[in-house]
Amino acid sequence: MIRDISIGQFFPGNSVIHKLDPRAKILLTLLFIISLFLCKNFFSLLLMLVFAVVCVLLSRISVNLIWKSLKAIIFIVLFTSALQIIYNDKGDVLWKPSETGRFCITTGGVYSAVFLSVRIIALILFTSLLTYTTSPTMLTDAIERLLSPLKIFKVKVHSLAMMMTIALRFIPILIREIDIIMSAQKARGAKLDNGKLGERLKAMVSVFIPLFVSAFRRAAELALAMECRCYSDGTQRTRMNRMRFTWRDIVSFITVGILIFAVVFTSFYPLWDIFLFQAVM
Amino acid sequence: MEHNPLISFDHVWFSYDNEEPSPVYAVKDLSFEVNKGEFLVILGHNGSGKSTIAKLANSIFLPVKGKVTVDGMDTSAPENELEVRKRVGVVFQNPDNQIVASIVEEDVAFGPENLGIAPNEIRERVDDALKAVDMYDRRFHETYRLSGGQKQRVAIAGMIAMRPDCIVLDEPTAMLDPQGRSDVLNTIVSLNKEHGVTIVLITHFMEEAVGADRVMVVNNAEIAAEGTPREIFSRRELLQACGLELPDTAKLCEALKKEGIVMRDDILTEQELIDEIVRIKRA
Amino acid sequence: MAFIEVKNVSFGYGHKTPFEVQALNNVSFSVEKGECISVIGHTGSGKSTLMQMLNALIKPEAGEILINGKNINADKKSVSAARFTVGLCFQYPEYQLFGETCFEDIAFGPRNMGLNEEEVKKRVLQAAGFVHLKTEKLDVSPFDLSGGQKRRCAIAGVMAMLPEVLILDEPTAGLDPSGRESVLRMIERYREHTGATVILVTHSMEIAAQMSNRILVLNKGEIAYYGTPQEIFSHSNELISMGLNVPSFTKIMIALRRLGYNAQDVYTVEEAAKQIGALIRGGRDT
Repeated sequence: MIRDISIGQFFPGNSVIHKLDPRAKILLTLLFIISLFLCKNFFSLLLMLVFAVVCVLLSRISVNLIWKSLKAIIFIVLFTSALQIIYNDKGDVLWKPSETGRFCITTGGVYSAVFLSVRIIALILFTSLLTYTTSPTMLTDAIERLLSPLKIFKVKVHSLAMMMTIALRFIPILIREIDIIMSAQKARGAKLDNGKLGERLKAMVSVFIPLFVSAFRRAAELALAMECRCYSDGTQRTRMNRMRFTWRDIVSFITVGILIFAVVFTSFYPLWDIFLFQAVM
Repeated sequence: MEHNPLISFDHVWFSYDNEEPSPVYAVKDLSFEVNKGEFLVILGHNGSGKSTIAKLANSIFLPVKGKVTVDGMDTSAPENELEVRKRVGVVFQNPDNQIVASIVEEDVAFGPENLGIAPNEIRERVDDALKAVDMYDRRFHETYRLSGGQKQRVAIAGMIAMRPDCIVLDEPTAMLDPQGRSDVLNTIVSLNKEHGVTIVLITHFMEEAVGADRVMVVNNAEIAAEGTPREIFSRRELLQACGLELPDTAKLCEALKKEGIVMRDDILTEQELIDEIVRIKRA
Repeated sequence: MAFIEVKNVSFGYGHKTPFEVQALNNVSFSVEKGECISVIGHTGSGKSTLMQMLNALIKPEAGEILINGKNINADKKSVSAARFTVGLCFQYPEYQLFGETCFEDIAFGPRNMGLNEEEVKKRVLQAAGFVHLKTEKLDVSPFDLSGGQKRRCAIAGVMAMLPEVLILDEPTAGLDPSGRESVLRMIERYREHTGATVILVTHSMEIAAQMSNRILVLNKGEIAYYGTPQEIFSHSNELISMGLNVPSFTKIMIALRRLGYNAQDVYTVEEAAKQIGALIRGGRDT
């Protein structure tokens, strides 16, 4: 059901994670993603996963919601795992259905399947934490500030950020609108989900034209309303929520710094892999 | 009330197709004033020209002929534009297309942020505005999950937070269900009575005019009638000729008249009608 | 067996999220052929979900819907058959216009039914007649029409399919009094010409009373009442507590009754006036 989406939602709260400076959160998320790709073995990956889980717990976001966002990517996880198991032929052969066929399951395949799955899960956990604990406006504001050095290259950073804010605001509205228009045209017999390719394409026209007409009408009305609310080029704008870099942010940067160090260290000196298998990549 | 109009329309003409040789005027030779602290309702059917008035009042539209002034400032002068819009806020029909931010309180902050107000004061204004429209408890909600009436109240709060002298509402209830409509109307009335905000409510629902200080009926781009709700509501034939639907109570009064019952002509509310029936019965 | 049978139907949205809503809960009712019923209930009462179910756009999670004795969700064939038997006109249907001309837009439904061009043309002209859309307007782009004309064109697009059941969700929303009357007239015209069953979703008790022989009141996903306007209006107090907008004259009759006068529940202004007239003439208090 199209109405069930919860990706990109914000859940207000008062946790440590909520209180972090959004700019810091964006940078930390980027650092986290980079270090995920620095991981070369299970121990370092496990460290990352533990860190992500601790952050989720600190945010006090309900486990149910986290589970929902993970469920959304389960297909991707299964798909990449399957690819790894089928195509990776490194390591020892675990199972070979026929002697003559080339297909076989190897330890390398299984390891990298598990490795990649854990990596994707950690990635989703951490990035969804960013959107769950930061309001869309704060997020775009933070991006605006982080990109503000680009102003010297005449990039209209403020306009970009405002466009993002508005896009985020109108995505759910337009999704609902598509839902309604599709239902209405289906009610008139439009072959949107059955019928031949040509018929389907024709039916899509009956959805897209009203959608564009409506989007343009909304855009015109919104522009008018923004003008009534004294919006101009954003040069004089102030913000209700000030962003402050506090000791919390310093602590989190130090923590992530230590984490990266540990990841790099364990990746290059796999002393810890005595009891954990080294992934065969 | 001393004569100190907040908004003044002086023989204003406006047309959407001004380039044409014989333009169709959306408002013709319109003159009226809005006084400070007043609750003015402008009634008219769709296409009567009433919505144009809202956009003329805060210099979105500029008159083709005549003059609109806000607090003495001519809206046609470009240097007055910002000051005019600070004083006159406009709320439109579709709340979905007025809300900029995804979270309630962030949207309400949008206007004050544009005015360059200090963060602490924005916070204070946003909280006050949300309390005034009774949406403070939902300040962290996502705007798209709200009901139509709640969204419209957020849009109104967004205007209040800019602390304008006057709010013009252009059919704010037309897209709402009965519950949303009555919530929004109650909010508007309390803004006027308790917070002293000047209100211009543009609508085609006559029953929304009951609590007004003054009612103006617009038909064919001109003012057809003006007066207190009592005076206007008693002119039932004129109202129907202007394409307006009588409120239920007025319909019943009309039907009672046809039944041959003689009663007061200027009944506004259900309670007044009940009292009148009881009075006649006892007389 | 009735023409439309809704049996123990349930449906919910957003399962296992904080936004879970039970839209319909074990709803059963039936509609006879040629009847006009109104469905009233405030926003979130499950009206829209129910309407989309009758057209097989939403499949009930539990229960079944029979039209003319056939389960509309039985297989793919019965689903597409239901789309043509039941014409569903959404709220603000003018937002779904897309044709290059009004003719093309109205012809969309009939063409999807696989009719030949001659029959399509006949249907379009007939539907334009139902909604009083002038023939010369058929060659105009629907986006160049006025608001009221757009609504007519959109409704014609549903009527052109000549559905045996016509469902309209708030067809008068956002219209002024004259626009509203003309929409109600076109629904009546369609009914007279085709003998179709009509289901009207509305917020207005007056429109419901004026148009339909039975009213279905939905409250929190369940049927609160189903009966003639007279029966429904006799529950005025309960309707008010459900947050429904009861006409003023109904409230006035309730108030008069509380004051000890002989005032019955009514559902038209004329009847209210008659009763009050009789009440006053029937002797003044001493």
